[in-house]
Amino acid sequence: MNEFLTNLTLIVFIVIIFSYLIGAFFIVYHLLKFGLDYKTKVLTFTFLAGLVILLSLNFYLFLKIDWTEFLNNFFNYTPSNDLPEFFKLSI
Amino acid sequence: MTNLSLLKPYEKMELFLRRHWLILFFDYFGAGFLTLIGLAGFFLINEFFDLTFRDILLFLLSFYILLVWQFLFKKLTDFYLDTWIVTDHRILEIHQLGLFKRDVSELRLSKIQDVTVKVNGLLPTFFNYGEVVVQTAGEIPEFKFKQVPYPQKIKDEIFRLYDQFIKQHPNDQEIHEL
Repeated sequence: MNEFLTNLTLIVFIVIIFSYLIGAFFIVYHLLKFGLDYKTKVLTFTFLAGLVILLSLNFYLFLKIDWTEFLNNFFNYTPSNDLPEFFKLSI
Repeated sequence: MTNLSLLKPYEKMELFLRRHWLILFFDYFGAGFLTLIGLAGFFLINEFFDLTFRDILLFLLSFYILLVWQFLFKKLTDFYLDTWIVTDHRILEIHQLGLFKRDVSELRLSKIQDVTVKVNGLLPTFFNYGEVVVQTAGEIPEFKFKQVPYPQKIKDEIFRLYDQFIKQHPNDQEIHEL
């Protein structure tokens, strides 16, 4: 069950990132096709550079998360169990 | 360097206009503010949770910044693709409405009937930007140069180009295409 949910999380993440990339593609396409001066080319490059850095960071942070543990904690939560593990104060 | 593919070979570009930078600044300010709220929110609640949840918060924050990045460049795209070009023959208005609607209108200088400058408000007065309205005898009753810098100078330049065009093109005949 948890493996299924972990895979589902990955699929949802990929779908969201894919939709995001479609939006990014339209921005780049418009800037390159309709841009009339060098400034739009510089903008496109800046946008793409930032996109690569931020997306890499986002992927890294996604992979760093222990989704199995998170989902275990999340679904094992019952009102009598107090708060799930991840909600407990660390101090 | 400007891509002149929209212009005819005998045309000379005289003005290349975009909205005043202050308009872009307001959008930037909004995006910056959104990022700050995200960062502040993260650091405020970060301390209260364990490591797994902190990782999730960090992941959500990075996704939030990705969204702000795209929002910022969507605004920039709108800003940079809205342009007005005044040549020694025509006025071209290129208007990008969102990502999927783009209007390109043109007006021959001989069709100009009147040019009006409107500077309304505190910021436009201080930063010297406003609207230049060109009334026409063509299909489109008026061309609006919105929030452009130095509107008075633009108006003077349009009148100068109009006079020059009328002198060079008696009977409104395009001498270069004969």
